[in-house]
Amino acid sequence: MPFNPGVAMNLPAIDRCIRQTLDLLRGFDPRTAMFLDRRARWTKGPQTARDRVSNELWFFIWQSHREDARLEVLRNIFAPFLGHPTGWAVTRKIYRWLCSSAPQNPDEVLQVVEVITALIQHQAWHRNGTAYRPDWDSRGKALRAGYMERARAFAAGLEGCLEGESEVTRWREMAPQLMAAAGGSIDRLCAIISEEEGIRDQVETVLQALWAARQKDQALALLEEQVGPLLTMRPAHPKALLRPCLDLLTLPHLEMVSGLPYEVTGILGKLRDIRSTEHLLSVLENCARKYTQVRCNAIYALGHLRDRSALPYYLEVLTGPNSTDAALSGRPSGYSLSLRGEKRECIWALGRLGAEAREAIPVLARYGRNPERDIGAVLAWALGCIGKGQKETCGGLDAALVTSLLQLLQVEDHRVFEESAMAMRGLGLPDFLHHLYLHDFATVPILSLKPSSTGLYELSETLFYLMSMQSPVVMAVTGDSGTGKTYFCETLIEGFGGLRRKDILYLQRDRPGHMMILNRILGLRWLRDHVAPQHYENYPLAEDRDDPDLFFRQFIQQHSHRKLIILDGWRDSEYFHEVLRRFYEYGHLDVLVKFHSTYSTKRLNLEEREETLERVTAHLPLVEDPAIEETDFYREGAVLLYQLDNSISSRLNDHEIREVFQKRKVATWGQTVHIGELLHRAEWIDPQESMLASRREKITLKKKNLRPKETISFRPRETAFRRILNEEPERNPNLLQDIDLDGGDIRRIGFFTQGQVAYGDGNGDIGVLSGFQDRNFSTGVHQQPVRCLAVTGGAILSADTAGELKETCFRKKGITAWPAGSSPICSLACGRDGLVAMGHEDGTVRLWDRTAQQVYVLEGHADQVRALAIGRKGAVFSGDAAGEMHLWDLRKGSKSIFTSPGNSIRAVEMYPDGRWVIAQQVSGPTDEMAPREPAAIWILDPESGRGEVFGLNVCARIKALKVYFDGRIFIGIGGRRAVPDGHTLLVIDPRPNRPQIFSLPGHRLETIDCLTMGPRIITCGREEDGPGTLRIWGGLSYIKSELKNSALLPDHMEKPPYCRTIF
Amino acid sequence: MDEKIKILVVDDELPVGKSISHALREEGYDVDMALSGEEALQRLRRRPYAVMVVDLMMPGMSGMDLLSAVKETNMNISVIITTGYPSARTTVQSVKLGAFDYLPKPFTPGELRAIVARALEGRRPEEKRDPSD
Repeated sequence: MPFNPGVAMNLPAIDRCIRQTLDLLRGFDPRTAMFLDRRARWTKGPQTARDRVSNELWFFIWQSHREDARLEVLRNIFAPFLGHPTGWAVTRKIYRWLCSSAPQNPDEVLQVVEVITALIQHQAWHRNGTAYRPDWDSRGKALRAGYMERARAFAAGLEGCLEGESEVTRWREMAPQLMAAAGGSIDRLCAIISEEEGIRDQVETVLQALWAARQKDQALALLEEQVGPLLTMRPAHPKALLRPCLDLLTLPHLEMVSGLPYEVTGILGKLRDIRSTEHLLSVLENCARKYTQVRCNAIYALGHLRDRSALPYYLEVLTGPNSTDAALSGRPSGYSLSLRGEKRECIWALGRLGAEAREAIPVLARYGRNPERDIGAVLAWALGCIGKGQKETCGGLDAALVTSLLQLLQVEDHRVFEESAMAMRGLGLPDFLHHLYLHDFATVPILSLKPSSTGLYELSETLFYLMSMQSPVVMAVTGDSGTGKTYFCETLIEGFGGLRRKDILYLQRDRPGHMMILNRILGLRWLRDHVAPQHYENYPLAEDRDDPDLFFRQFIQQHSHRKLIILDGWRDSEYFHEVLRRFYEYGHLDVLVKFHSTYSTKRLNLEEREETLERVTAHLPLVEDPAIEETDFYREGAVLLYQLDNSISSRLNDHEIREVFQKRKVATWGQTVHIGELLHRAEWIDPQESMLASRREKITLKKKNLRPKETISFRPRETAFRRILNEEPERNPNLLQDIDLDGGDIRRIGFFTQGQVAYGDGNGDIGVLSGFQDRNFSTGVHQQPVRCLAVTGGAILSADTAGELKETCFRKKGITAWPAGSSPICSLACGRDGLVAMGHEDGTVRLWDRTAQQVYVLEGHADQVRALAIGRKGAVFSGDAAGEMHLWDLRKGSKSIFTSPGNSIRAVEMYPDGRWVIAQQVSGPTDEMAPREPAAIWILDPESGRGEVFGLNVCARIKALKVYFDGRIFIGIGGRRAVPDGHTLLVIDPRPNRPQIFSLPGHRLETIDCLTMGPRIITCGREEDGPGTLRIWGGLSYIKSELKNSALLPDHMEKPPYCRTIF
Repeated sequence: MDEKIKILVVDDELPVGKSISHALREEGYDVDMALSGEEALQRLRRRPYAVMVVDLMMPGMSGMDLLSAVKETNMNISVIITTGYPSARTTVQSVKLGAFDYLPKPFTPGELRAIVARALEGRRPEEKRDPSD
């Protein structure tokens, strides 16, 4: 039928029009700016406003990927035009007016779409014609007037082609109906177009001036100064920048050195619009390698678009050179430019492709052999993503991929290891888990990380529990850059669980006021040595008047009304750790949360925050240093530590965090984090006030270098251990389980890391028992039984009965022999900053500064130094077999000497309030014979020499001493004949008004060593009838609930890793 | 006026609890959620529920403890135990304690809805309600 708008026609069926639209849409390529011209041909590169609207409209329709959603959108849009006879008549007339030269018999759909396009264009002009412009902006006002004029002319012309009041009225109704269609989406589309037209006008004006400029440098200056800011400003609708940016990229005379291509590709990276794909690919094809930053931006944007057609470009980059000659003006010739950043982005983009990047595995595998530091982590992540996709689509994994991940696990870099382990975990490769663990189980228990969705639940309970006991509770939140710590903190500081905003003090160094508080806590002296001057330039006091201790006390006093203080980690991790250390030393650090996340999560978080690739890549390498595992508060276990996996799949959003922290949910939570009540066999004990003779002397330090004798490598033995649950809880209510070590004879134990215990045994072996999969990693180190052991920074220091000193490092798989000194070592202790104290049989004490590789020899004891401890501020306490105790203060160069004649000092530990706990007993002829008199425990105030003395009512040899952070003292004793009922683990609780002493069964013959970990007490000792055993104890209610839970969970069941770390 | 059937979901893992709640709400039930056994008991005191879906392993009061507490108070409520660690022992124990049924994780929304519907069928007739009310 010939096209004749004047003739009344039947209404076209909407469903048919929708089908025609969908047919048309098949020719639409979303990967470039494509529009439908008036002859119904798909064309690239819109030049006019009409074409741009067409592109935006068709892209909008294409975006509704779901078939039903797309149908709904089209029905909505078409309704004002096809749902009413007058509407259809008006549509046809407007179309004829708009397209006088159009085909004679167009489809209804083409007519409707053309009219919609015109209406959107008209609305955009109208918007710009009524937009606010300040009085001084004469150019803006002129542009505004131009838009208004165009809108008026359009409306007048359009209404001129309509006949009668009803058609004009209908047309005036159609525009608002269209704008409201599809939930207001067309109105938003209109806003994008109007903003884009505004940007175009401004850019066009500048570019015209540019082409008119006679000199090239003037033109470049114009570009840099004027177009750049136009693009980098934040429009209300960022999508309005898309087409102007694409046009700029294709501008024939645009100079790379103007910096504009960098800006434009950076913006495209932020927009992540699929329509930029072709342009970005052409950047990779045409842009010389020396413009690597522009290329990086393009790869980054393409990575987000997950476009497979970029794969050959990525491979070309990865197989290409590592650097290029950057012969740019202003640079000397032969200047070499690294292409590492570009390669890193390519690897990341391949990871984003997932299974579609399978063919890149051989190329990536080459990088796995010897990855550079900043490529290793992203490579591990990408291999994990590709592997996951491959497993899902093909059901198997490429061997080269697995091999590469295993190679990456060997890289001596925390981040690379962590990412590789995460990838292996994601791929579900249980057979390789042991391999992962062996390599770096010392510092990264990554496989047993709790997901934050579970861990934050526990954290909320812990905070409620602690806040019910004390105030303020201090919680530090740390983690590598981009792990989501500030997001978490900012959710909490709004208040939760009855806490108002004012009950919470939130400290973050980036805020100037907060930085001053933190600076004052650290003190000017420390700041001068460690921080750049601009960070403390307004420090209010001179160094001689500065008193950080006083300030801290006043600070805590001032905020005593708060319930919670949150310390948010910041980029200068040395500064943050020193703040934590100060809080810890003053006894005000309660909880530490450390977030971990995958490379992709870190990137996504940083991309959201930092926006440009340049800033993202600047922040990605920022990691916690030193690692939290190296710190005192971690090792001593007094601070409750939550290491959580905050990767996207594991984390909670802000609403969920608020929900979890809404209220206290478990009344008995305290027993799951701290050692609870030990009511078994309690008796009163009355301490005696006593005084030790004391004197003060100056000390002279002899300094020596310490060099290792030799280092040998080893391969750890790996065996499984078995847990034997307590089957008689009525008889033994504090015992959780025995650890069956298959004949192992453990003599000394130490805290290694969360869920892991270091040990030395009677055969001279050193090992680590890991609660994850119940593994025992060990190696032969000594020829004689291990006598003493200490753990520092992932290394286990041990001395045997012959006095040999060895250092075992499972991470490096090396055993280092160190010179033992003048005589055999009989005691060892580790302090912070790598300080190690060694007590010798000839009475010397050696202090080993491992950082400086120097040893200070301290002389003064006349007998074997059997007891050693290092205090929080570096003070060293030593006690000898003749009853003499020395408290060495290296900073003041003096020592206090206390004497207790006739007694032997067996062990010493620091008490939480700064006093010292000393175990002493009457000297006996040999260690194995039971002493004639009961031993005594002193809590000694070194300032006055006064002490509280708790006499033990058993004549047994003291073997172990451990002070829990709440003040309870655990004492392991030996000599069964002297101990009633064979109980060898005593607990003194000096806190209540009338102190108590408990006895726990311990081990039948002797409890040799003791360790506290969370709510658990771990002991090692010997039984009558066999080798040594390891046992786990706890408070009554904790043991009850653990035994009940264990009964619910049979041993053979596969549990999540974090459930199995309970040691 | 007919009221919707009330169901209480008890799971210490918020995302898990939410997805169970969502699946049941889609079916037209009135669903509340508790993150611990203690919180569940508080809710049970305030509001009558027809069915309770309980995770077995929770810190503090376990699912089994909650089941015992509910049965001691003689509440007329059908309890469905869910857990990631199914075993014959726990199944027998939970059913002995009066659980209606036992649902090993992971389960589909369909399985969950079916077991809840069965639990409701097992209740006294006057308490049955059309879930689409």
